[in-house]
Amino acid sequence: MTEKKPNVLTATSIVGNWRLAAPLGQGGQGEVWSVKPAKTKRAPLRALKACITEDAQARDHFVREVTTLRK
Amino acid sequence: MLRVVDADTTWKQHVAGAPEFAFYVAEKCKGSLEKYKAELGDVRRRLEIFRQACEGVAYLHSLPDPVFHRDIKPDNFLITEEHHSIVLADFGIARAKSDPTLTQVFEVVGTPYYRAPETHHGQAGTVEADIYGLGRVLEWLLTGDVSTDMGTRSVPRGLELDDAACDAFDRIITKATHMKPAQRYASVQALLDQLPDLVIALREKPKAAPTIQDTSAATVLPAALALARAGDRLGWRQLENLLRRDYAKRTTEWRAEHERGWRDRDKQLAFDVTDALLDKVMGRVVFALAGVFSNDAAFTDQRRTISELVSIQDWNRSGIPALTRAPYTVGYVFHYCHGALCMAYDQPKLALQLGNAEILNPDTLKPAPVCKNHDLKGWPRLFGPNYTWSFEYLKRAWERFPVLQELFALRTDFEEGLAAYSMLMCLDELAADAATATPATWEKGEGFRLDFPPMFMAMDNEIVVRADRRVFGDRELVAEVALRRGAKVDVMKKLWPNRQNLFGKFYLDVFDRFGYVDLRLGELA
Repeated sequence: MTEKKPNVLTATSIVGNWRLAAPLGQGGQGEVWSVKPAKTKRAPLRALKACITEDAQARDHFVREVTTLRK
Repeated sequence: MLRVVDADTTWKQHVAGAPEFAFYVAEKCKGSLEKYKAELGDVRRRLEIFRQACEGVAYLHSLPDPVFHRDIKPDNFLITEEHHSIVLADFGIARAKSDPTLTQVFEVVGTPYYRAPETHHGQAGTVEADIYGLGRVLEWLLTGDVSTDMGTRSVPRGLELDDAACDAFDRIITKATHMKPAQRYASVQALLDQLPDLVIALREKPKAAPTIQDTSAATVLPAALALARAGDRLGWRQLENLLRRDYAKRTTEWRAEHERGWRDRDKQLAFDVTDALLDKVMGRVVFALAGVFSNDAAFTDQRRTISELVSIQDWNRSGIPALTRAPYTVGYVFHYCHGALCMAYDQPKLALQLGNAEILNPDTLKPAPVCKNHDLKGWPRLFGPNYTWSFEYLKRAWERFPVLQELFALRTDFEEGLAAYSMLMCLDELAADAATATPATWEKGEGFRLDFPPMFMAMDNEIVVRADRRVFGDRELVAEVALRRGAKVDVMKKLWPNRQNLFGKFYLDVFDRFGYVDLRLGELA
């Protein structure tokens, strides 16, 4: 039923200090990618969760999620 | 909790051509509990999963401005790739208590069956509602599913648990998922407290319950060794729970102290507290290591306890910068010990992975800067961005806890591993500009790289770490460092004359104990 949206981000793009490796998942509010640090070669893969939305409430939720995790 | 390593919450165009977005970077997870349903392991492992799940939720509740998750279910617990620990995810609908929108009534959140009945009509998140979710998760973990009607599923009889334990678990699940919030457990901790006693009710009968009042390292070691040698897994587990509870209790106490503001009033007191804490934390480190040393089969099992200890660094987040130094010390000691152990077990790769663990600077709470030039330059991060202070702490712990040395004396291969690990660290320090290297610079100990994973050989009378292997014209050379017992020449000291800091001295001490370090070049046929 639900058609898979194309990813907005593309592999090998650099976001901040991170290089996107492979898409891990997709949700209504964004995308999750596995990433590696852009500058060093050998490091464990991490996951980057991007919140791509115009919706103010969803943005608030995202900020809350980050602040809670960082506390 | 999921460890966030980086975040940018300003919405902007991070990538040309893409819409603006915000992001955070965290540990990578394999997937949810739901996804790995079939591979969760036996009851013990499932209870351990549950314990970690509870701790995540308890953490949210313990924040100064408590956050209620409101959507607790197996889908929202993720298994991390590195440590296989359980972290809570998806705070999309979580709410802080102070959030004004919390009282908004017509919003229904959560997932059917895992959602507390009182929230069906849309209501604020509460401790009780989250406990309901946890109760359902326990039901799911122990029975494989959740009840779709009002009741709860019973824990299957005659499989892994005896009837008394089944009954006890049934009671816990029923109480946690009671229709009336007031009848449930009052806090996640209250629910969690039921578990250690239940573990005792599992199949085996305890041989002798450990009765330790004092949880400092010196008391813990003999008890832990006795249990490990007797292969008393149940006793081991009890001791572990005892230490864990003791540790959690003290953490709470000290956090309260901190909030009363002792740190600003009296810095000396702050250090006293740190020392007292160190004693207790070291108890757990010694405990975990004793398990590793005395029972090889349990090595994998102990890794979990150990990685948990490493995550003590997460203390940063509790906002007690002064206290973080003690756990840091422990982190270093542990890293060092475990690195050595990995080498002893011929697993340099694992040792390096450990070396890669992220250590935040306790003062700025930022990750140490990524070192340049060399792949393995991340290694010194084991000791933080500032060797002097971090190593001072490590050394202090080492001197202060003769029990550590006692522990290491149990295993000679550990000493070898320690030497090999130290050697690798030194090689990493020495490795420099590889581009201009010639055989001549190699002989001076300059210009070689460290291969990854480094080749490591333990032979009867020496340990060899191969640093580099390179073709110069028509010659193919290898640079190796060898440690050999009993010999007197100390090339590493010559190579490394200006190491006046503690970091350098400590390694040299290790080499002295071992006797001999030699850097040599070999030619491959």
